[in-house]
Amino acid sequence: MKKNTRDWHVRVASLVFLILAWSISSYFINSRLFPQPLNVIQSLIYNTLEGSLISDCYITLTRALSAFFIAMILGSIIGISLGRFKRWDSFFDSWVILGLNIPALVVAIMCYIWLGMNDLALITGVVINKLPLVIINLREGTKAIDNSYIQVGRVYQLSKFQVIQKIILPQLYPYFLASTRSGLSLIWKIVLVFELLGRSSGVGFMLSLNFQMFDIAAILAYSLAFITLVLLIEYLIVAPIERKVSGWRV
Amino acid sequence: MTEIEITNLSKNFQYTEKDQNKIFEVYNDFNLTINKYEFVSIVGPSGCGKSTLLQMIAGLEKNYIGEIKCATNLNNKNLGYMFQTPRLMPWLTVLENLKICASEESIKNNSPQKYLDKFQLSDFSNTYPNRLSGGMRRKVSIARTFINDPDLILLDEPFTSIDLPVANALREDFILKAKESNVTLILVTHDLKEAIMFADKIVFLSPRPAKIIHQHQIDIERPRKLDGDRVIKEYNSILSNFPNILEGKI
Repeated sequence: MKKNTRDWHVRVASLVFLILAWSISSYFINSRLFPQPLNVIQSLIYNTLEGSLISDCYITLTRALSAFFIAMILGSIIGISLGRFKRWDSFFDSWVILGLNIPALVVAIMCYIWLGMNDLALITGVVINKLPLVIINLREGTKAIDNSYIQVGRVYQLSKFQVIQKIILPQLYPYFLASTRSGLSLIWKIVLVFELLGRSSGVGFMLSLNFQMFDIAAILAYSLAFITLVLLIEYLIVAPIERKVSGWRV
Repeated sequence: MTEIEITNLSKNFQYTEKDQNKIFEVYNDFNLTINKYEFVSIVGPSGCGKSTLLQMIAGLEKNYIGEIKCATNLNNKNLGYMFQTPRLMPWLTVLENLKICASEESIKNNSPQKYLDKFQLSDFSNTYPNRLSGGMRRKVSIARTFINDPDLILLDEPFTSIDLPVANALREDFILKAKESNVTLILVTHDLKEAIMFADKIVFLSPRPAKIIHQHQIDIERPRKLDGDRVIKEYNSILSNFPNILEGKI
């Protein structure tokens, strides 16, 4: 408990130090291209109350979460299958490596050309970018499943559902969580790139608009708002789930 | 009355060495009969196929030629199996580990809690196995073995790699409970004293392909102590008559 309190103090002190260092350096540089934290906050409030920050964040978040869930579901099914069946793994291995190394920008351009400048193209492109990572995580997780526990299940005549729920899935949870973490951080960044390239709404589009107007405070305000959203998802949803499924490791 | 009848059993394992497929024979035309309520110890040199035999009896290993007839219906949670390691699911608490293996009837009779009480584990019912000592994990594993009041118990060197005093106490607890329960018990071990302590009959195996080289009836009154005079006397008597029997030679 004491250690946690100390950790909390260190984290807050670190954040205060960062803001202080930013304030001091921007005060001395004194340029509109490097705004003070206060200007960013003012821009954040202005864009929230007068602008479209909330609706843009909502649109980007909806796109990111849609792509995330599709990539997680598809990637898990494919990854588990490849981990389970060696032949399939050998056949598709080079496809997965290829997918892993295709630049996000190339996928974005191809999807917009093939599917048009719409949300379907955006989500498809983001899914294609994320899919190989989920596949690899889940494939390795499936290969690492300890069969000795499944033997226990067979001796005690557990149903297939029980084996999946109580023996297989708990061994895959760390891999699901790793995919979730890396997925969220990767997807929201890629979604911004896709929006910047070919959409007329969302945080990425607004970043591009503010870039054209050299409004750095607004760019940072939009970034700050979206980073806060992603952190809230991490601390309010992902971290509690992790505590629940990995509590036994502590 | 016969509990297990093994006739003309042959079992091979295939493996790859330097890109060449090789085969080794574990059993070739092996026969064994075990009577109901009999305690049988199977002793043989390492790698002769003792554990494989238990796996075949339990139905965990089905790829063999010959016949294994079991009077007990093993599809009815009627089997207790203690593996070389406790194999408790680390993500389930002690109580959950017992509950998942318990039959509906055992749950109705509150057997998981009763066995926790019997083995002095009640205070640890909500503890995860990785926070228990090695001896306590074995105790949970013993409780799991008895949870459904099985008719057949298979023990695969379950008391190795734990402190001698703890192992002795667990052995005594185990035999006491097994004798109360009217079960047929098969213990696989390479420890002759342990074999004598458990068995009504010891079956000695040769190196693979394993053959029965000697069957020895043990007529020592119970309860027996591992280092008790009568066990030591029997141990010395077997080894003086068959000095190389533990290497599988007679």
